[in-house]
Amino acid sequence: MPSRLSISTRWTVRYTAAMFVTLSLFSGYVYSRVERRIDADARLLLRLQLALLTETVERHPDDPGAWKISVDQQLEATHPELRFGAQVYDETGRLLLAEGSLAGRALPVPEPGRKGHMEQLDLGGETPFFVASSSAGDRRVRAAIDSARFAQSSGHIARVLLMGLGPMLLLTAGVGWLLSRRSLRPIAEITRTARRVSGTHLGETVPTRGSGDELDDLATTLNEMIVRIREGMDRVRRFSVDAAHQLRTPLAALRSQIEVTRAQERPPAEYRRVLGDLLAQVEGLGETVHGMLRLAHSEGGLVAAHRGAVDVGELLTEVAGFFAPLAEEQEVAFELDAPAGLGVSGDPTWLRQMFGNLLSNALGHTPCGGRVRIEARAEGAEATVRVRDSGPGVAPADRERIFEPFERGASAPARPGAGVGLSLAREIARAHGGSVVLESDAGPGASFLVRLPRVQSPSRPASAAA
Amino acid sequence: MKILYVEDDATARAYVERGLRERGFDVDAVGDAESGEKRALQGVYDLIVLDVMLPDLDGFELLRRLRATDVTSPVLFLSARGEVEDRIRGLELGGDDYLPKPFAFAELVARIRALARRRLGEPADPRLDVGDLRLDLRRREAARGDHPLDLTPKEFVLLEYLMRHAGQAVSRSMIIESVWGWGFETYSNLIDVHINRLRKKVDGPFACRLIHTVKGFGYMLEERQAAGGTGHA
Repeated sequence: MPSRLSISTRWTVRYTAAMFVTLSLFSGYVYSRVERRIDADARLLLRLQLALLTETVERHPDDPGAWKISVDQQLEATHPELRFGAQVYDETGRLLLAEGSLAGRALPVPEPGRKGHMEQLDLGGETPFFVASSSAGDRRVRAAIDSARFAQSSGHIARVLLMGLGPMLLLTAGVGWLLSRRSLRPIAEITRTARRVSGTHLGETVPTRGSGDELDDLATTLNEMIVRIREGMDRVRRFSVDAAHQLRTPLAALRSQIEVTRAQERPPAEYRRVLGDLLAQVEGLGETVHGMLRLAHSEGGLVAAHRGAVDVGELLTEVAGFFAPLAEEQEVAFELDAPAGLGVSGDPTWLRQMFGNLLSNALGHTPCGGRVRIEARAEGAEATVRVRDSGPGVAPADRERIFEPFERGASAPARPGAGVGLSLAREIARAHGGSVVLESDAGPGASFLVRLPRVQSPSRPASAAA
Repeated sequence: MKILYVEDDATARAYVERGLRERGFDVDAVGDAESGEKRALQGVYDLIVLDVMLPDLDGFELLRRLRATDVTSPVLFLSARGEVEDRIRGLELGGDDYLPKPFAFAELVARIRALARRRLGEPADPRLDVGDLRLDLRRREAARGDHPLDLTPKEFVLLEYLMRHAGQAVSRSMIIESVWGWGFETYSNLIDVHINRLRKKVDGPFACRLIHTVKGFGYMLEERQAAGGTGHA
């Protein structure tokens, strides 16, 4: 385990913190609502008791005995902890009755106008009393209950809420941890698989669960990546083998020539001739290696620093201008048709090489009196370039084979230096997010179609003639 | 002309050194970057030929160090690595030319000579003359004797390049790099076609030929006979 906290731990901590805030706010809200409610209940009870006594006093204004019965009934009906108490005064402020918790207490005479007024009074107990008063004819009535019981209720609620908070948070943390572990388990599997994958071990795939969620997406993407890498590695492996074969034959020839020549004394002229032969063959080998290196580099990805918007028309004009004298010499009609302002993103050096390879291929396969036509178009989001020749075309069996390195197509005459031109063109197009294909329905001759993603052209070429 | 040659491959070093000596160059050959740097800092060389892949230090890094001091000798890179990236990097770092391995020895010699000439400085004169061939760079006009030559813009630049290197063999890849500005030499054989067209215009109707083929290598523009013959159409 790395020293940094794992994702599940971090998620759990965050869950729990969020839950703590939520629960605290909720508890505070519940407590304040409950407390207000209890307070209202206390007032209601007190008001009720006051109303009962007031009614009795009104009905029997001169019968303290009836008052006492009413108060005793209420004392009996209410919980002793409420410590109900009552007082009745006459209009001069003389105390006529004092019962319950208000017995023997000297209090100011209730003012006549303040009916139903309620206040908290400290009567010397641990908690204040709720006190309310009213008038019944000439008499003044006062009732009181102890607030202790109500305070106890809200205190109890607060304790319950506080005690619940801890276990709730623990529960949240536990469940959150389990959930995050569970939802992250596919990532652990992906990690394990990715660890096993290497250049030589590309058969692995990350398990997908078909749930279609983000992690499944990730797994699928990784699998696709592994497949792409595998294909690339296969290409490279094939290429290395092909390249080794390409070099083996000429190396064997060189070796025999040197060994045979050295086997006995020969006249100087002969040595010179053999050295000349060897040089020519070494030059050929050098060219093969150049081609292979270029192909390997285009596969290795182009240097992004040299990428930029390239005007296809301008580039084709330049390349076609270079090849035009050759076409003229071979008596091949050479046409370029490119619209102004057709832009692609890429490395001009590589793109030039790609179009050069295609043109060279076309000119190499077009007989005297034939025609090579280059046609650039904007097609939707793509720029297309067709290089069409009037040569013998490509046999259906060779359609894909001609793009393999060192393949020339059975029907095509062998040309020196050929071998990687078309595969290099294809790799360059690929590296630019495009493609090169041989069109199948192009009629006589061969038609190569280049597709490249379009971008804003860097310039507006004045004209696009070869 | 004094050349410092830094190359770690002993066989290549021995033969190239010998070849350069036989061509009349004064060559100091060393096998690693450290001794190369020590020598180069003496500042006595007209040219440094530098292999990019050295055992102790990257050739690019060596160039960077040298350029950070006062060593201004032109540097020609040799590299067996990817030509496109290495070429761009080498030139960006202040290298003057680049030659991918394997190279033709004649190509190396031609490039060394071209760099040596460049160091001497090119004339500011807007006119170039070789024999009766004249190029007016300001007016973009070419003529042989009294006969104006009708050249395309590319042909004009090609002729200018040959005239600037008059008397000196230039390879096809040197031409394609300098005239077209392309780093690739895949189609350097196509240069023959361009030269032939230029030749028809420059030499075709005239008695004395100026553009000569250097067999198996490239071309040279030079006046080889006494300029006695006046051209006739």
